[in-house]
Amino acid sequence: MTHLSSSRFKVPSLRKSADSEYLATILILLVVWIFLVVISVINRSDFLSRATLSAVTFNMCIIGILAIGQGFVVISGGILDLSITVSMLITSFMIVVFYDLGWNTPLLIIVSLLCAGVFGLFNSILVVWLRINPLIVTLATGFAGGGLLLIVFDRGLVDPKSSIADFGTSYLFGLPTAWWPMALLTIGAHFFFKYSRVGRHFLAVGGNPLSSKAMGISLKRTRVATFVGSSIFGGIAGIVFAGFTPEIRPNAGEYYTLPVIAAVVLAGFSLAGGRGSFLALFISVGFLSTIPTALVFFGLQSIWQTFIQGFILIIAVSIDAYRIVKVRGR
Amino acid sequence: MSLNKSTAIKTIAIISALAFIVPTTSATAAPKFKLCVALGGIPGILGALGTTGDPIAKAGAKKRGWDYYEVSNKLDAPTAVKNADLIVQQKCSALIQFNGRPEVNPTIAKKLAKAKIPVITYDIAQPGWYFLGIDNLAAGKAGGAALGKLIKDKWNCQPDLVLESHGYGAGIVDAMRTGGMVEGLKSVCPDIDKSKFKPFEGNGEIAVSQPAARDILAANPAAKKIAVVGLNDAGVVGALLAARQLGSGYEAMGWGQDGNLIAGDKVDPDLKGSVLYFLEGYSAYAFEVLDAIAKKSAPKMRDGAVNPAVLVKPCPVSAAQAQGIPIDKVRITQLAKDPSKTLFSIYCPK
Repeated sequence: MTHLSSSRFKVPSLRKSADSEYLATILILLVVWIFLVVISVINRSDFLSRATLSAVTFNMCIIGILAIGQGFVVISGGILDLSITVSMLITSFMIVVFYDLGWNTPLLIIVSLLCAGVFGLFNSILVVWLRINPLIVTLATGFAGGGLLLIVFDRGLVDPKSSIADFGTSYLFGLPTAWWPMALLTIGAHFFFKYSRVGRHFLAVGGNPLSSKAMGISLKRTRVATFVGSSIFGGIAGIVFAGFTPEIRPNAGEYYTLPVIAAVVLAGFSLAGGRGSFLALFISVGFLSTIPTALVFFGLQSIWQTFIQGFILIIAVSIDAYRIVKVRGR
Repeated sequence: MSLNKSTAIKTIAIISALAFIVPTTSATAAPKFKLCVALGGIPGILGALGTTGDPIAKAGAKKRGWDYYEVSNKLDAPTAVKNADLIVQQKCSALIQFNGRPEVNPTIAKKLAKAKIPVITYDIAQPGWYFLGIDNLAAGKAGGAALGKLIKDKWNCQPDLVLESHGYGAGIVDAMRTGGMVEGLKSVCPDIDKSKFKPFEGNGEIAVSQPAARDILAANPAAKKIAVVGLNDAGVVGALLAARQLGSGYEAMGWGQDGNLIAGDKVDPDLKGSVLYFLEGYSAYAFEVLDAIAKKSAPKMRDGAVNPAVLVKPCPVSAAQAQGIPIDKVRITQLAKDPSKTLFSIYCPK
């Protein structure tokens, strides 16, 4: 079997073309985001305030982390992980359970994340060894997992005096503390996929699994790592969720599924796998998180965001579908 | 010997007669009343009953010598529909229904109407079902008035904003509960300007009300004294947390409804009180209707939240008073010992 060396992935013209495409996506998203901010400021000059910055950055925290996990799955050819919010809730519930048992914070966070990882491992077993479509698997485990959480926990109450609750309201360097994990994970994911050998393996498997296999990349290992990884990202979002939400309910994940998928697709991640930029994803999350705040400044209720996000999702998916058809037609 | 023979003949005759009589009697006797209970509530609110059963309904049925059968949908709509089939198969005499997935209630109602099974529904109205629920308007007004007193004492009736955390999906129930809170608040502080009331969709969930309230606070940067009312405790707590997230310059206080987040030792410091419904003890009230149905004198159908078949009294409690009330599982156990009482009569502070 031929093992892949990092140099064999360097196809300068293709990478250059992908980079310029990512750059174009980033620029377009930035322009749209700035446009939204500008019209909001024209509408009301006090839009540019510390309170608005806080509201938008708080909006970004959970959706941003979940979007990185979802982007990780999409880019690696896993289509979508529809159970990522269940990973989030598993972690949140386990944090409550371990906190009530008197565990210290670092330990309970690590073990709760491991629980999410085990859930991801279960997903990957079904996908890799039973060869079931990942969309079907994660849809099913999402339902089953949510049902199990309801049966076992009913609800979880976070102690408002705990360090987890403090984390949900505190600030670091002028921004919500909970915003920083999302920002750091975005930078980490960007460098991982752009510059590391393993990251490029994921990209290669997502883009063309057969060629990747021929080049010696283990598809099974990559798929397992993909679903375990996405569940752990879901778990990190679960830590933030526990900090934000003193009453955790098993059905709470439903509010995040659509915005997360919208953010990933809007950022130009191809649902066919193999392409996507995490910097674009950051901007996409920022843009989508600004919409509900801006709507309120325009005198509309934030419930309009669901309609607008759905509308944006339709446009983004249509562009992606057009792009796929165009590539196949070449 | 002849006497013995005669006695034997008589005995055989009596036994033979009894053999005919007994089956005839049992065939004509009315079947035993069978109470069925279909649960599956919102997590935290009767959620415990959704998974562990309803000991109060069970105790009441046992006391009356009725048969008892219960199912739970675990908050799953298809299971709720399947459960309706089980209820029909069980030939239930009456059903208590609390379904946290009300979108399938019309389907369930058709099945049960066809089988002529009378239904008592808790807090979720369905045409043709006896409605048993809280006096929503009274609950809202009581909570609003209690918060109004605090606002009067602390802010001289001059809050900068009053956030209304609605759950519009609940329809008339939201209008009465959240609208009632605004009415109650205005009864104490009538001069609060209309522009200070900011309604928003909180959906009765922290995950929804928190970001929505954050956005409203950002759009009203001068407002620092924030009062919060809402459909339930979760919707109110989400908004209170939003104020804390935006900085220490905010001073917020809220009064919830349903009592879901006011008991125990994990209470939000800005949640000043709640209106308890004691939903987990509703079955104690249900026997008012069930007894009439069992006596073949079913009461007149009253299936609306505005004019319910049985009205439950609300119980407003401050956060301090709530500390003296045990958690719902303890309350259920206590009431199950004597289902002729109600949780209101046992636990509501006088």
